[in-house]
Amino acid sequence: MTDIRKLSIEIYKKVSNDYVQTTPKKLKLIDVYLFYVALTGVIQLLYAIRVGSFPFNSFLSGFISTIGSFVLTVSLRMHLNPKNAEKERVPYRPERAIADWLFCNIIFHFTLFSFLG
Amino acid sequence: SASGNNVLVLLDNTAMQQSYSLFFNQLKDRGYKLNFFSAEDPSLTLTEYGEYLYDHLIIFAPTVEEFGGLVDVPSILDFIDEGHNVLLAGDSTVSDLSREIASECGIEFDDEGTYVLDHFHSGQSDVADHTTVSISTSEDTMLQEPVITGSKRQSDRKPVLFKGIAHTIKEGNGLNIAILRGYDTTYSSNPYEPIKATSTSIMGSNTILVSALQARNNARVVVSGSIQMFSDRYFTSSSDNEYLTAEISKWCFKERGILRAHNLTHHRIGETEPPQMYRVRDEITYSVVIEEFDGKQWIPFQSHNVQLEFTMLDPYVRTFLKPSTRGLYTATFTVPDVYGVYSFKVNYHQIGYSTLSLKTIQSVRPFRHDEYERFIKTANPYYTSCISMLVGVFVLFVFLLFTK
Repeated sequence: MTDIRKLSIEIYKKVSNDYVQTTPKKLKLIDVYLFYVALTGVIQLLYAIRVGSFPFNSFLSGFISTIGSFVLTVSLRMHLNPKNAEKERVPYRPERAIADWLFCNIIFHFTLFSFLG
Repeated sequence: SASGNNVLVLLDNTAMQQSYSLFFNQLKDRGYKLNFFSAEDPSLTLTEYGEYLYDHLIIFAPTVEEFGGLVDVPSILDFIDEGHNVLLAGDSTVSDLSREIASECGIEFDDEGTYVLDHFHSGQSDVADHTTVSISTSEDTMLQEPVITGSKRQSDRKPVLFKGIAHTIKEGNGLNIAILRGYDTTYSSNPYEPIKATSTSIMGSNTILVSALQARNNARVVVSGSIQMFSDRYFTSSSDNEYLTAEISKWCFKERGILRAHNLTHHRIGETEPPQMYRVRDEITYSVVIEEFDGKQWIPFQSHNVQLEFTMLDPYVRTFLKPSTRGLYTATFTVPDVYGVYSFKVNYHQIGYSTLSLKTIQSVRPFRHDEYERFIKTANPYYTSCISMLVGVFVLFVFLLFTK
């Protein structure tokens, strides 16, 4: 029992140290933003469960804004990660990625605002 | 009467006009025009050129096997289907003809030759065979509805004399009403034959002596198992027969217990005309004037249990209508949150009264776009989330541009 616990603590420490040391600053910034977006989404969901989803269109709009932003920002992070370029999994094109991300976000929020009511 | 004064009276023989004169005279005093015929008269007819000549029918002919002329069981049943009333009296020797008419009205007579017997409550008669039963009209034996049985107090009433055949009805079917029934000690059987275990199944309080049917079209049929209940002899022998038969005939011939409704209005509170469509969550009032007939004129009806339903497949609102002294019934309620096609329904069924069925159809629309609040308070978190996401996007964009 204690072996498993020790093992899991070790793994956690290694992963978090590696993360803090090896990820570039840009990606960490994006990670903070992602955490903020996820937090907003969870708060909204709890609010809807507690108080009821009365203007359902508004609830959907708000919740999906967090989910959509999350997805778009994750894909931005993948494009900005230099390690991906080495493995040729995802093309490393930082400027184009940022432009795409901004444009998509604007159109996405435009739709959501009209659905917000 | 609320539905006309022409009565056709079918008798076993015309001598009955004298032996039942007190009953017929009190009908004449109430304004009815009685047309006496022998039941086998070949010129009998209920209709002429497609219109009914009579409004009510009295059949005091228990032994007749076949009516004369154009009157027969189907034509009498059509007469009832058209809303007219029938008073039928039977006897121990009731024929198949009367049996058939009665059974079409849900009333089953006992076998021929049987009498209603009660050894504990027999009335005076020439023959000491207990076939004359004296029923004191208490809660156990008589229907306590003043609309049908009159408003005389129990302490003022004398017993009712009855000599005849028993019948059964299916109580609880909503249309048959038992008016006079026997005691627990009453039973029905042939007094001149020895009793066997299977002699009868009609006993106790299930022995119905006088019952009625108020059909769904409000036609009334009263069936009594004893024609002698209406006879002068019983009227004059210190009994309550005269009063009870008079009251029952008043109900049967639609002098009492008839309701009508008019002036049905509904509108929003504060307005006088209804709009084409109500809106969800409107406050509306519904009012209707209900009157009853008291023998001569229409007077306001007073009751506390008239209900209104606001229904779309299921009743969304069900309230009582509040009465007022002028017979104006009103109710106020809020239209429910669901839009669609509703109907205002008043269905009033009360024993002894004609059924009142009112239905008005009304549409209810949802809110228009400009009837909502522009920004809904409960949706504030969602508004802030959307805006903050967009703001966050721009902030991140700036940061991404200017970090290495």
